Amino acid sequence: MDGMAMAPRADGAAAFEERREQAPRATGTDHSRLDFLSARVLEECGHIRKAGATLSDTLESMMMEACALSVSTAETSDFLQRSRTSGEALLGRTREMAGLADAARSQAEMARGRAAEGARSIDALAQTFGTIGDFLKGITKISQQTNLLSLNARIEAARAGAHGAGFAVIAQEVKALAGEAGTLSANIEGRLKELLAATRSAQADFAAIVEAVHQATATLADLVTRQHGVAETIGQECRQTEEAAGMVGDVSDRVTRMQSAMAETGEAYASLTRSLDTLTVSAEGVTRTGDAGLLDAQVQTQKAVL
Amino acid sequence: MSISVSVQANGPQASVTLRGTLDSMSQAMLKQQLEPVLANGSVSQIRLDFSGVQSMEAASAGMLMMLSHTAKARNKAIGIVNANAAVLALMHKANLGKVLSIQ
Repeated sequence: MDGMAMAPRADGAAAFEERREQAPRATGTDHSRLDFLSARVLEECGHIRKAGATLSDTLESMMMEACALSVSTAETSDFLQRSRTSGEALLGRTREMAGLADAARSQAEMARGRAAEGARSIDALAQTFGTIGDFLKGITKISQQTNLLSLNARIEAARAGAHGAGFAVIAQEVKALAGEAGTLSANIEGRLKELLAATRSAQADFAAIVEAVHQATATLADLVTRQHGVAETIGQECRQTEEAAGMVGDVSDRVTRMQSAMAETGEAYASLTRSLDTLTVSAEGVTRTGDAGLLDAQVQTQKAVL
Repeated sequence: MSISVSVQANGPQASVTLRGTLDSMSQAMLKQQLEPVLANGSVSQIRLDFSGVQSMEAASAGMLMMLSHTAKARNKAIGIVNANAAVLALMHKANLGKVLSIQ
């Protein structure tokens, strides 16, 4: 059969005639055995066909599932790619915000330093006001002593009588000047006390500002730390998404290989079906009566395989 | 939703125009309509016109893939033309473009 299968179609008729001449006469027993065998072959061919049809249906179902899986993996891959892109954008924004928060923390640190410097300046100012107060006390004391001197001068002028009248006028003027100096000194001291109280109040406010700036700096430092933590987490998520995309890519490759394997199985099934057709034609030829049927089967087989 | 199939054979080329949605319900009809074309020995090129196909299920790409292999076993080539963007994207995601020509 193999030789016949490979022979050109044009030689088939000649071969048929040649075989017909050379064919041995089959006996009745040979015919019944051939009939039985060919019937068995046809029966088995029928079973193979049924199994093949089932295989074909299963293969098609598997191919459909593989295609659905392929689409799902492609869409998952697209989704992961988009997630990765979004994650990277978010990571960039978070890092940018962390940078801004860090810059704000530096500014707050600087403000805290300036505020502390300002508090020290106010303290120095308060000390200066205290020194001025001491000077004013000195002036008041001088004024009081001058007043006492003028009193003594007036007493001495009275004892001198008419000769001391001019001196008494001068002593009276000195008394008036000492009184004015004392009044002015007392006024300045009063204002200085008010100024000192206001400065102490400003000093307390400045201390509160320094404390608030200190708290803000600590909060900003905490914010910066947390934002770095968030950026780190987002970075890890991005890397995991990338790994997941790689895994999905592997699944996609495997699905593609599975589709190729199923396609090859389909082609093998088609080849099997062709062989089965040939075998069926041969077996049907054998069941036809006589040597002519046998030889006809050979020719039909040859035709089928060409 | 079903699909309507019209076949025009002209020498070695057969043009099959599809209209509707290609899903698990409609693909049996398509296979049935294509069987005479696949059995026609004079046809060597089958052109599936998808211009009337609004949508397609992913699994139907598997049916088209197997159809392509059946056609190949019978010495016929199958090509797909005029598919809309969504259907085209689905075909490529299903790797259909690796086994048959898609234009």
